[in-house]
Amino acid sequence: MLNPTLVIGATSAIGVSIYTTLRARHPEARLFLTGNRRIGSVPELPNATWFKCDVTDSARVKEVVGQVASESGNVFNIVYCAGMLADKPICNIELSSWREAFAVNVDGAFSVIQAAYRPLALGGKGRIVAVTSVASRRPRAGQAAYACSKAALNLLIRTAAIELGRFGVTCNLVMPGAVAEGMLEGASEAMLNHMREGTPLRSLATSADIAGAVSFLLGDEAGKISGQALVIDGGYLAA
Amino acid sequence: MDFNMIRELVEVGLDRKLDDFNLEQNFYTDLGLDSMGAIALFVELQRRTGIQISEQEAPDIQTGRQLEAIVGGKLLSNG
Repeated sequence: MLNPTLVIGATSAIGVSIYTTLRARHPEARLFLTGNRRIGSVPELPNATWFKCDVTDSARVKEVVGQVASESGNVFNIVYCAGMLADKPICNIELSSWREAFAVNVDGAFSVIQAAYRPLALGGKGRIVAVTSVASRRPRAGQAAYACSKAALNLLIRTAAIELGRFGVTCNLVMPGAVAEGMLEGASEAMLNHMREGTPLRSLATSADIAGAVSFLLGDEAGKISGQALVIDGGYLAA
Repeated sequence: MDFNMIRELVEVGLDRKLDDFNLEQNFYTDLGLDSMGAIALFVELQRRTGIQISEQEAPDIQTGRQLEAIVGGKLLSNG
């Protein structure tokens, strides 16, 4: 039985795939979904509540997490898949873009975990899964802001795993390589082919692959896994 | 809240049993409680009694006697 689950950033391609996968596998589970820019066109789902939430607004994050904690009796999961690219060479990144990438990719996760910390500790059975990127381990040129902010997210989640472990809460990362949808929408076929050729499996992951990994880490079989990163990259990091 | 519950809460915070405990010992300087242990102690208190210690109150609770007093006060004010 899936705990009530809060998906932060549910309007992204990966976010949509995550909540549709969770809904399909756990029809009875209570879902809480947040989005920011595209919140106006979200679908109605049974047993699900949508919140408009900008993750850089810590007061709003606290409000949303507080409501989820209250409705779930402090036993709930969090999936953090809010994220943004800010790809430019280091010499061209504006400080404001650098800070915006950190604000969304890691500060937002910090605000969510901080707001959820005590309720999760009280409830004792929650899970946290954050979506990071292989760029946090092997950045490409132009990915400084994205890679550095995702690397910070990795350490945030590892630290949370250490701190919240004593309360029975697990914290893990799902680490996609290039994903064929979402942030790569609009990429040329040549670019996608180049990326495919860089992976031993010669194929890019899909949002559904990422969602499956998230679902696994929220499930009963992953109850003893914490502080880990599940890499879904077609073998890219191994090559 | 009786002596045994206070000792159990401190043991949860320290993650070890205490052979020798009294209400005047300082959790931090005498018993070695750290900031994570303090959170565990207060979470356990809330689990057992429903009483929440705020971040502002926590630094002033360093002995069993002080914990007893603040919990007693909250129980009275909660009716």
